[in-house]
Amino acid sequence: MVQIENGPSDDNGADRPLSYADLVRWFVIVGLVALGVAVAIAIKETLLLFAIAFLIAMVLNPGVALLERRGLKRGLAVALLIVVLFAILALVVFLVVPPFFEQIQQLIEQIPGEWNRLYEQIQGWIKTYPVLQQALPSRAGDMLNTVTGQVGGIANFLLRSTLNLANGILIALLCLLVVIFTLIEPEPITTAYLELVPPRYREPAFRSLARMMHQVSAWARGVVINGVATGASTAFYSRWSESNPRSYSAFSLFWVNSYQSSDRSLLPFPLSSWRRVWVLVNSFSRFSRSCLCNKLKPICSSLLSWESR
Amino acid sequence: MKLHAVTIIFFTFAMSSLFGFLGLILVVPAAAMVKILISEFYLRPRRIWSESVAGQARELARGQIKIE
Repeated sequence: MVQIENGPSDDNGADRPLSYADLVRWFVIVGLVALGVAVAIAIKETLLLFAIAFLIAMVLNPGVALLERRGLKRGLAVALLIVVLFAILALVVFLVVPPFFEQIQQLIEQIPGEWNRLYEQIQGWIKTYPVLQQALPSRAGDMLNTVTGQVGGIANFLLRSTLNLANGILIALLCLLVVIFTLIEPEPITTAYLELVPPRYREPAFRSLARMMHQVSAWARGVVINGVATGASTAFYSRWSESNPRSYSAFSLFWVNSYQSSDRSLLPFPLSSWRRVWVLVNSFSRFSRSCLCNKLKPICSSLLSWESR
Repeated sequence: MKLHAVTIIFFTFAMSSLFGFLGLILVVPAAAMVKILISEFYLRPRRIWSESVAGQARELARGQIKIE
């Protein structure tokens, strides 16, 4: 009689048949995982907000640790850091916002001239492509009426945008609150993270978090250095080349500024040619895609039916 | 039992997303219950104590880790 020898059975019971208790245990595990995934999907915005807050806290933590090593209490160090950040933000707003509103005002003043220029441009296209004559209204006033007919939609859009802006400001403030609380007392959060990891993975989890914090800090340092160097050099070059005091807002008005003449441009010389190419391509693609293909056709059909009446 | 401020804020968001206004009322009890359940059913059977990882957490918070 031939006997088949089984291999050495392991101590974890991998060779033994599945028992009723194992089945129940696996059902419970699968159920808990499914529940966890469902909850995570339901609160995904909250998870994203906290992920961003923890990322910002990781970025700011080396600064707080540095101040703490210099003898400041942790709470005071966090307060000092937040005040410094807000001061920098206020300085940027102070330099960028006034020219922004000034240019918006200029843009509003230029709209009638731009409207005539656009209408002349369309007339030029009609001469080149006569088939467009059927699709376009005959007078500038008709086109203006069509546009003003969309004012309700624009107002609705502006209202929704304002509500979204208020919501965004509220969420940003809550995110700041989470960052402050995390920075003031980070140890319980880190302890909970390390506790929840199974013991055999704790050391890799600890090292992963340390490396992530290191990488995020390095990334933030790079972004700050790059931003300061680019902004300062652009502003300096702009002032030097055009003697324009508004050059601080070099990156703020890429689109709006394209409507202005070059002697009043906020963008410095090296960017202005690329800016014009970009504006030209983008304007044409936007106009052809959204206006000619989608919007203009039903509008013109309604206008033609109105004219026939 | 100590509940961290970030825990309370997280549960405020999560409970309001899941259960609306009723969830907002139950934020603190829910946070405490979850903490107790994790402690009793996950940490205690595995003999995981906060003191064993507190040192590592302190090192991370103070930025004292040298990356090789």
